[in-house]
Amino acid sequence: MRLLRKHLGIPYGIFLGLFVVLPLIIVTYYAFTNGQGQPTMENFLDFFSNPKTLGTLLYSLMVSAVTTFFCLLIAYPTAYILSKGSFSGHAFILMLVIMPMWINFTLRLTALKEVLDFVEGNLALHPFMNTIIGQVYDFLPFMILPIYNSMEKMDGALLEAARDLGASQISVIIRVMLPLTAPGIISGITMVLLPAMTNYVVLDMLYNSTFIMGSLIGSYFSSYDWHNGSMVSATLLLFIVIVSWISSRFAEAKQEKEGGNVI
Amino acid sequence: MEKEHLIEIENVTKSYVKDCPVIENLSLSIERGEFLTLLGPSGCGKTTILRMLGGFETPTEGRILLEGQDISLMPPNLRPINTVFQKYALFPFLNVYDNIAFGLKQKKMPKDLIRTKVENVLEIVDLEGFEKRQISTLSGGQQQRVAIARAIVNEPQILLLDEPLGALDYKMRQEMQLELRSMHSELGITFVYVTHDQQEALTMSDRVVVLADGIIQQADTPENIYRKPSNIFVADFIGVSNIFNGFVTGSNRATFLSKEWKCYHDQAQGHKINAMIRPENVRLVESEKGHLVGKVISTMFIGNTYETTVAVGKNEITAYSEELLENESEIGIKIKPENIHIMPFDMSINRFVGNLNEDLQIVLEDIVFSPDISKVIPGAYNDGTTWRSAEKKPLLLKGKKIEVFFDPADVKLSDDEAEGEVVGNIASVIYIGDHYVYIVRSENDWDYYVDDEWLWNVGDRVSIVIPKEKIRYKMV
Repeated sequence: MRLLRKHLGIPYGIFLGLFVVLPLIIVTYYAFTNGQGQPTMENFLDFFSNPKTLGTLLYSLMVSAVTTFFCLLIAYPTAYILSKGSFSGHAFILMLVIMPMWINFTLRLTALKEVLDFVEGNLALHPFMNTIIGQVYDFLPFMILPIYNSMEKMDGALLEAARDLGASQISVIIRVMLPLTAPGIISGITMVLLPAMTNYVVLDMLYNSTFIMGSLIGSYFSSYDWHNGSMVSATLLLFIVIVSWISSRFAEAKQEKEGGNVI
Repeated sequence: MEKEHLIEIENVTKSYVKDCPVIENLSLSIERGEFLTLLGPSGCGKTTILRMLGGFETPTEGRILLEGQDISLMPPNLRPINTVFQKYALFPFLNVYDNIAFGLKQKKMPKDLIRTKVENVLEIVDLEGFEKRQISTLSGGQQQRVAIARAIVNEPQILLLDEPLGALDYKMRQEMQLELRSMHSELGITFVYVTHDQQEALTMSDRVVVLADGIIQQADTPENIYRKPSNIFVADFIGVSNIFNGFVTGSNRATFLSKEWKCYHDQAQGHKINAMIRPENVRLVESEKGHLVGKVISTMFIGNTYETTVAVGKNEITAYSEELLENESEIGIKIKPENIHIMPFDMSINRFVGNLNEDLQIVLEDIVFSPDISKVIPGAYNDGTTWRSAEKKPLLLKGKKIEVFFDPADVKLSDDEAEGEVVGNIASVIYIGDHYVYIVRSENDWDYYVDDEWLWNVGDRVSIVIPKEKIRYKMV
């Protein structure tokens, strides 16, 4: 048999089937069955009628929303300085942003824990704040890099044009820079918002005993409750699908307008 | 009506790197309502001037006045000046309407007034009905019009245009030239236009400012720039020209091409001059009827005529002819006196050009120059083995073309042949008030200009002392 180009895709197809499609089928199967293997919606009904689990969902949403907000707040000016800064050390600072990504994040968290412990005296006093600090510390590079990318591509003449047309510095940022870097912001938000909902290791390590979605899944599976664990996973999956659909729609609309590429 | 200076650029110097000015002590006034073009080769500083007018750069020295008020440090958003950018710089996330309305919205103008103004200006640029279109769906020419509309809708006192037609194809460019011209007379706004295209500058402008190395070479009407260039640079940069070295040999007489010609000038007898003749003014006739006889060495069809090169002795003359002339054929050349333009020979500077050799020296027939590379290229340094640029990239210096300058006032004559760098004979003396200007011709037939307060005689053998620190170098 002759090796055709399309045969090169076979290993990828096998991988996709084994590690993406099959697990998805299994998760869906368990999510919609009970302990006796009968199809049921009860898992979902239980989840959405139980104030405790709903509370976990809301808490996760809040943690990830606050994390995303602070990441954005820090990342945007940082990315601007990195991309437009005329000072010679900017390559070095970019390295500083990227480098932590090479170190396992539990190790980084251990270090952070020591620092926070030293500053606050007792970690248990501010569990929520510590969680947010840990999460922001963990996810910041994922917010900086896409924004940095879109800032690099930004045409400086557009900012000058806005100034020329009478816009003040602040007006230039709001009316020109933000729309131009929107693709980077969206991609940064997608990369932080969703993982932050399940990143329960941060909470565990920083002694925050409140559950988030990740901890819920973890606890179900570790007590061999495949059905409820799969149900929560399926719920999150649905959430992810919705968010990425919205952001891709947004990106498409932008692409249509600009005729350019969106990262 | 009395003409009033709208803009006054006063002794402006701009350097990005210390002591390496892009614009040097430049003064220029711009009249209200005129179409002024800044013309020059790339890197001559024309865009820098425009950016200083727009407020994107501030002068290192000197100031810029708008109606008598110093605006040198005023930020761009407060100036009654708008710019049409080189690549249009339209906002891709806004449609045509919102792009044009951007400036008016910044001024917090009422909505219906904005609408009237935008519609009005779309009519001027011939884009009625394009309000809702996205920028990416427009052609280059249409984007150009939107960019112009976006600037003029703000009714600026001055419109700056930075090579706005550079990205358009030839036909489109010609159309837009005419349109810009008629827009200018309709709107009555002062236009300051930057281009490197001399044809564009000549067809569109009321006044052309020719720039080179950040210095104004000539500021005049297009006709005068073309017919009466003030120096060889302008003559050479604008159109095709024949330039010859010569001497004034009488009132309305000059000798060049080994022949005395009748021509009109106000130079004093004996002065060195450059004579310029445009190719369309060189008439090719039968050999016995010409002032000069030459031999055709090449003919090239250039669209509407043949560009013919004729050799006369060691010189070459370019002429236009309607018919194809055979190579090697003898031909007569006739030039009318009014078509000969005489320019004073530039003796204000000694200028040489050479290439760097392996030892980073410029070896000319008479002298060897050893420039300090760190001064030729700002920020360059030697890491022990190689020269590197300020960005730390290794520099390939060998073979690089370098210009060498020194001021006649900085050099001295000496009768001790060993004292100076070059030995030669004095070829001419001109007395200028308090000193003499000498032309010293070396054995290799190179001319040097020297200002000296002592009197020497023509034919004297002298050496020229050039202090090392007074020699300036520049990369070409």
